[in-house]
Amino acid sequence: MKSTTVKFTIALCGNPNSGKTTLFNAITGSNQKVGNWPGVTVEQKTGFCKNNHEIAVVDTPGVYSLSPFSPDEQVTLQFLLQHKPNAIINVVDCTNLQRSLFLTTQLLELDIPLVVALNMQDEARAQGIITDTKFLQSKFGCKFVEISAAKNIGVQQLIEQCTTCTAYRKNITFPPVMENAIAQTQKLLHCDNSRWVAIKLLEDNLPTQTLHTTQQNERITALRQKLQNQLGDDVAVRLAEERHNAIAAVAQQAQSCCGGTQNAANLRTQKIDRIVLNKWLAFPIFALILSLMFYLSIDGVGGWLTKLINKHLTPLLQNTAQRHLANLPTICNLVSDGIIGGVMSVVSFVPQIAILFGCIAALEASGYMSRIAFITDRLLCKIGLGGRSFLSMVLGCGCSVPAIMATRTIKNIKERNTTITLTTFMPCSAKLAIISFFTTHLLGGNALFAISFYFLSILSIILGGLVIRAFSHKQQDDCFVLELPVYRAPNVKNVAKQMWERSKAFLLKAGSVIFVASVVLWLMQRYDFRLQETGPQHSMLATIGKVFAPIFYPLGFNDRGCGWQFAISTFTGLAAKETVVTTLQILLPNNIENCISPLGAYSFVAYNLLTVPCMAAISASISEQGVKNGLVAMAFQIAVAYTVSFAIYNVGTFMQKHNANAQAIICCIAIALILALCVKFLCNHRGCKSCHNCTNNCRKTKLIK
Amino acid sequence: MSNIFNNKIKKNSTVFSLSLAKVGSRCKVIYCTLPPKRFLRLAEIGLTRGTTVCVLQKAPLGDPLQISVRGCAICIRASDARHFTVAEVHN
Repeated sequence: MKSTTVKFTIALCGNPNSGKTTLFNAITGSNQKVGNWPGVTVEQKTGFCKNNHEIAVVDTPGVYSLSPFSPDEQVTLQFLLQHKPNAIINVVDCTNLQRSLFLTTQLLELDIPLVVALNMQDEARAQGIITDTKFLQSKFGCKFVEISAAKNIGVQQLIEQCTTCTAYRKNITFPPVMENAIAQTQKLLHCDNSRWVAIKLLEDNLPTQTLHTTQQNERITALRQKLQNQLGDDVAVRLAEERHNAIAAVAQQAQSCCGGTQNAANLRTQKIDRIVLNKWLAFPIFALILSLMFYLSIDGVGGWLTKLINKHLTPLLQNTAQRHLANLPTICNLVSDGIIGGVMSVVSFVPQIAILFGCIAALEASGYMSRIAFITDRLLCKIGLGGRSFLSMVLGCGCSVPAIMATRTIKNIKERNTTITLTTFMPCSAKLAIISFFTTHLLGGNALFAISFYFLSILSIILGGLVIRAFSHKQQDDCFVLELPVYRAPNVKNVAKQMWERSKAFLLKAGSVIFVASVVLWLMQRYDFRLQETGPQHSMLATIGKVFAPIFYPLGFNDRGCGWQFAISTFTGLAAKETVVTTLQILLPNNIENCISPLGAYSFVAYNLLTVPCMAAISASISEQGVKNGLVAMAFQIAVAYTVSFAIYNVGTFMQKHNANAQAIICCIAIALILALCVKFLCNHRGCKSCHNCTNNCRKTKLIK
Repeated sequence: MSNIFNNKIKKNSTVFSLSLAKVGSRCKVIYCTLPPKRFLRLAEIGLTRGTTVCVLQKAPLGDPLQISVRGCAICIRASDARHFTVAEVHN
């Protein structure tokens, strides 16, 4: 293994969105996903230096300080403390020097050789910011290297500095009272980085308290209490303030601006924000962007390519197979109907999925992702979520697994678990295959139906969130902090790379899971339990399916007598959601239009959208929120899916029985009610959240008074 | 950047909560009533007592507000901003 030859480990640490992963890619030549929003990296990733394989580089999630708040920040701290890298590169965004240096002062205390990489040098230069590295070196005692990771400038020099630097550094001097307490605590400890541990102990902020005996603990608690009394304030907050004050003085002298802070990129960002974050335009623009994204992938270019594959490529392959295997009827049937029919039903969605991922990648690179969190936060607070939850839901349109991983940036555990449970309601690219298949075959090919499923998902998320919030009491212990990065044009190479990677993963899945599923399903629908060849009505699959089918009768799966085929396909969807389409293709190869009514089809798609996700997403959900919560989430998802489909089918049947006038009246009333609720909501809740200590002049407070 | 230290509180200025500050106004943080653990998170990012903050913009629904503190922009919720008592300073 490579790990045996590693002689030197370098950790990349820094604030969120400071370009750690871009630097990681530049050093290792690998292709980790980068984006223009804080929180792209949530796990540590290891790579090897391009030119020297003895140097391992570890990319860590972004942190503002070494006090771990959210799970992704804990990853960074755990790595630094337990794995003890040989050197740390502190990646600093030059345009945000003052805040970034806060982390630097904490990293300096760790007794690990440190090199500070002043990243985004090109952007800083353009803004007219000039940084005096010599001055910073004299103040902090560690090396400062100016680099630009995106343009690959100064990276080689940075690595050289890392391998030669020593642990020499200058710590921040706190006021005498604090220094005294730190020195006294240090005397009680016997470890390498005693100053850092002492400070963390006084802050009451150390995750690994077990290192010390109870006697030590008591004495440290006494010291902390004494210091707290002397300061008349919380120790951790005071230490943070002292650090910031010390840094502010240094940073003021180190950076000089010539040409003003208002450069082109900042001005452009401000101009775009004025429109995109406008009070009235923000939500229409947001809806437009999402609709455009789905329209492009479902109906536009993606839909056209998918139709092309379905009309020409699949029949061509099937005909070729039939011609070559004409003298082996069973095998011919297996290959043409089972394998080609099944796998191609999924492969044909590759163009749609590639374009969807391309759109998401472009969105991530542009910097709009953070704005989504910014504008939706207020609404999501109402259902016990936050703006970051919506971010992971947008990612969930691509694939649920990265969406679940992205929830690591959420600090509040309850909010995080709720997000994990609800984010799988979002139609992922595999569910897009189901939507697309049913829209073209059963719902008249109207793209509006496809988009209506997205709205249905959002509605279910809101209802689900309200239900979860009703059953759990609210915690208020997190501070929501978000950054809005400057807009950058998406890098075409990067977008294309993500489209390719995703399509490749999708094709690999089609070649493995779906291939196997196709063969197994084909065999099971052709043979019965005595392994005799029979018709589909008496096969193994029919026997199993007919046991479960009655559960789904109220959802309308059986309204044309094909209940068990649809029931089976919901179960095979557990392997991967695309298998739903594959199964139906194999079980009902010819006239699927006559097997279910449009209303039943709508209810079927709704059930499959909302029910438990595929195995990969289930395992991600369980590993992120624990077995018990994971199982509860699954039960919840099934319940919501069943309720929603039941409602759709039965309300729909009721509507069909009555005449058009009644329908029109009911629709009008419903729309009016929704509008009235929205207006009331906006009037009552503008700007304030909980009214008990609110001094805002909103209508609600006036009414109470 | 250079005007961070130029934070003299306006004469006859009253104190109010940060969530009520007007967009575009510059205020000095006087004290914070958040519980220490929550305050720490914001203090580490630079929102400490004595700093000058500038309200840059509010979200369309009025809740998260974007503020500029120590030369960089961050967004915080109104429910957190309400706990910061500030006074307006000269521009």
